Amino acid sequence: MNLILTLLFLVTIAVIGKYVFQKIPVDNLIHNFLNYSGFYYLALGVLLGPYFLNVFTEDVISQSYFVFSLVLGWTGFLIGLQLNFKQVSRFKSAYYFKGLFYFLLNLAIIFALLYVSNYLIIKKLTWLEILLLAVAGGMTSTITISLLIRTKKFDAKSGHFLEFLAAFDNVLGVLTLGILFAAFQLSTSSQKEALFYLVSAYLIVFLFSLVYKALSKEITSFETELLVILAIILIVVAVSKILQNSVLFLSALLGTTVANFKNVNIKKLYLAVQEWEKPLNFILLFFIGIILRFDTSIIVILIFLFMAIIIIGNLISERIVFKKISKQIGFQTFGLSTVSLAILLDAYLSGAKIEFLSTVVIVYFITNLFSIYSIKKREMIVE
Amino acid sequence: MKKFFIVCCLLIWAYFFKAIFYEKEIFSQSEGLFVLGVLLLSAYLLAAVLKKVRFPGLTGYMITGVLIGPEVLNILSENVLKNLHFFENLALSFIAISAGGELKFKKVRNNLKQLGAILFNQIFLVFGGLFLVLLPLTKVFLGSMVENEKILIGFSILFSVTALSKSPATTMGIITEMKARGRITDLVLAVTVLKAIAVVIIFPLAITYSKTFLIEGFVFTFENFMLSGKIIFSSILLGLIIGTIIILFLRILKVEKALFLLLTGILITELTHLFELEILISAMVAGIVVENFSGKGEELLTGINKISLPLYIIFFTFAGASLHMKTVKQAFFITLFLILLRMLFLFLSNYLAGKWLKEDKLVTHYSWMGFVGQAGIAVGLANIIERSIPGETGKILISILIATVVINEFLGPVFFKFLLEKAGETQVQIHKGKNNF
Repeated sequence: MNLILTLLFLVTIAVIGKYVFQKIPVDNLIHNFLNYSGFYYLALGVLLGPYFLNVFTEDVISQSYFVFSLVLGWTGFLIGLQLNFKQVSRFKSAYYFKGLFYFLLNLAIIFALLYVSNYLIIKKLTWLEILLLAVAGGMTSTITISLLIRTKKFDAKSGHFLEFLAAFDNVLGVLTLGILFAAFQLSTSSQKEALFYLVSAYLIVFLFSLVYKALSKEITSFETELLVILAIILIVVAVSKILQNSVLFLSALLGTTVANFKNVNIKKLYLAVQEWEKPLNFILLFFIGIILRFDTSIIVILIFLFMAIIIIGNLISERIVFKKISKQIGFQTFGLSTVSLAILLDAYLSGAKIEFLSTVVIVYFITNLFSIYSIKKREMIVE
Repeated sequence: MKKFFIVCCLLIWAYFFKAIFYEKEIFSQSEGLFVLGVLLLSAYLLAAVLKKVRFPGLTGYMITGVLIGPEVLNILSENVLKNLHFFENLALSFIAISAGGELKFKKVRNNLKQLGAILFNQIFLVFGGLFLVLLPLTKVFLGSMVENEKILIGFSILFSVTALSKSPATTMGIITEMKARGRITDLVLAVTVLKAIAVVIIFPLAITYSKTFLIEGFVFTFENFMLSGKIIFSSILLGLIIGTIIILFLRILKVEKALFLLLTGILITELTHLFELEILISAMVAGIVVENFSGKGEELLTGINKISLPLYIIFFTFAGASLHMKTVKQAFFITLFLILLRMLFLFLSNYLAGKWLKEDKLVTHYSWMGFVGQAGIAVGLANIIERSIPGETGKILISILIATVVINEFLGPVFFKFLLEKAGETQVQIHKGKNNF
C-alpha cells in the first residue's frame, strides 16, 4: 500500500472511528478512558501493522516519517502555548518548588532503580536511554488527575495543587527531553559542532517566534492564522530534524515564546491550533500502533520492571512530598502521561530503540487503566 | 515594508540553510517539510506585499514559486517538486470541487442563453479565428526554419487549442481571495467551469489530431476517440460517486468535516491518478452534485474554505516553480504577439456574444478579462512537440507555446481582479456599496 492510500485510510478511520466511538454509550470510566486516550486507534494500528494483517508494511512506515514529525511538532507547540507565564504566575511559588522537587525526586528514584535493574538484569541500556525512560515514567497523567480532582476526597486546595502538578511535570518532562537531546549531541559529536547545532536551533526557533509576533497583529482571519502557524511549525520541525534536536522540545519552545509575547492573542491562536489536535493525535496513535514491536525478549522484562519501578517511584516521592494527602492517593496517580508517548516517539524518530516506545505504550495503558480502576473501586467518583 | 523585509530575510536564510546542510543525509528526509514551510510563509508574505500595490495574491504565490524554484534559488528543487507533486494535485482537486460547488443549475438555467453564447463564441471563435490567422502567419515567421508545412499546421492546431484553455484554479483563487459575489463573478465562473469540461473533451481529441500533422506516420483512429470518451465518462462517474459520498457524509456523519474533506481530496487525487482519469472533471462533478442535489453546497464550500488557503498557495507556488523563465526569454516577442492575438479573439468572442444578447458594457467590453489565465498544460504539450519535432525548431516551438501559457498565467489573475473591481463585486466594494449592479 502506498503512502497516499495509507493517508487515505488513516483519515477514513479517524473520521469514521470518531463517529462510531461517539455513538457507543459511555457507561463507565474505563471505556471513557480507552475512547479518550485513542486506545482503539492504537489497537487498530497493531492489528493492521506487520504483526497481524500486514496491511501497512515497513515501507509505508519509513515514508510516513514526515506525518509523525508534523504531528509531534503540533503537539509540542500546543504544550508550549499553554505555558503563559502571566497566567501561570497565579499559582503560588510554593507550588513550583514542590512540583519541581516532586518531579526531580521521582525522576531520580526511577532513574536509580532502572540503573540498578539494568546493571543486574537487562544489561543493555545506556545511561541516556535509562534517563529517557525515567523522564517518560516521571510524568503524571492529566486524565487520571482530572478524574481525581472531581472526587470529593480532596479539598479545593489539594485538588488545585494536583491539577497544577500534572500539567507542570509534563512541561518539565518536555524540558528534560530538550536537555537530553543536548546531552546526546554533546556526547556524540565534537563540542564545537554540537554547540553550533544547539545554538542555531534555539536561535531559529526564537527568530521564527519573532516572525509570528511581527505578523500576528495583521492576521485577521482564522485561515491565515492557521496558515502562518502551520508554516512556522513545519519549518521548526524540519530544523529540529536537520539540527538533530527534539521536535517536541523545540516546538514547545516555539509555543512558549509565542505565548509570552505581549501583543499576541493566545486564545485565538490556541483555538486555531487545538481544532486539529485530536484528529492528529488519533493518526499519531494509529501510526504508533503500526510500528510497535514486541518480539524481543527484552520487552517483557522491561515492561514489568518499568511498571514496578514507576509504582515504587511514585509511592516514595508522594509519601515524601505530599505528606498531607498521600494517604488518600496511591495507585490513582500512577497513570503515565500522554506526553510520555510523544517523548518516546520523538526519541524513536531520532534513533532510539523501538522497544522503549513499545514499553512505554503498554505501560501507559496499563497504569492508566489501573489508576482509573482504583478510583472506581474506592468509589471516589460518581460516574 | 515589514513583510517585504521578513520575506527577504526568510528566503536568504532558507537558501543558505539549505546550502549548508544539503549534503547531510538527514536533510533529504526533512527537505519536504522544510520547503513546504518556507514556501507557505514566503508566499503568504509576498502576496501580502503585492496586495498593497493592488496586485492579486495569486501573482504573489506564483512569483514566490519562481523565486524559490529550480531556476532561481533552487530551494524548491526539481526533485522536491516531483516528490510533492501529490500536494499539487490535491490542491487542484479542492479547487475544482469548489468551482463545481459554485455552479448552481438554477443560475445556469436562468442565464442559459448568455452562457451558451459566450461559451460557443469562446470555443469556436477563439479556436477557429486563431487557427485561421496562425496558418499564414506561421509560414511567414517560421517558414524559413520549418520546411515541412504539415508541422506548421500541427503547431497552429496545438496553439489554437491551447488558447482555449482557461484555468479554473485562477478563477477560483481570485474569487476566494477577493470574496467576490455578483453577476460577473457568476458569469465568469460558470463559463470557466463549463468550458473546462468542454476543453477536457476537446483537448485530447485535438491533440491527437494534431499529431497526424506533427508525427510522421501517426493515424487518427476511432480508438483514439473512444479512449477519450471512456476517460471522460469514467471521470464523470467517479465525480458522481464522490459527490454522493460527500452528501451522505454531510447528512449522516457530520463529524470532523475538515478532515473528511481532506479525505475526499485525497480520494479523488489518488483514484484519478490510479485509473488515469481527469482529476478536474471528477472533482468538478463532485462539487456540482453536492451543490445541486443536496442543499449542502454552502456547507461544503465553508468546509473547503477552512483548509483551502495552504492548498491554493501550494498549487500556485508549484505552478510558479514549474515555469520555464528561460523559455519565455527565448521567444519573447513572438510570444507577446500571440498573447495579444489571443486576447483580441477573447475580446471579440465576448463582445459579439454581448452585443447579440444586448448586454451592458461590462459584459461586452470587459468580461473577456476573466478568461485570460491559463495553467498546467504546457509541459504535456511540450512533450508532444519534443517527440515530433526534434532539434532547434522543436525547441523554438516549445518555447513559444510554453511562454504564452506562462505569461497568461501571470496576467490572468491581474486582469480578472481588475474586472471584478470594475464590476464592484469584491467583498470590500460590496461592503462599501460600490456594486455596479
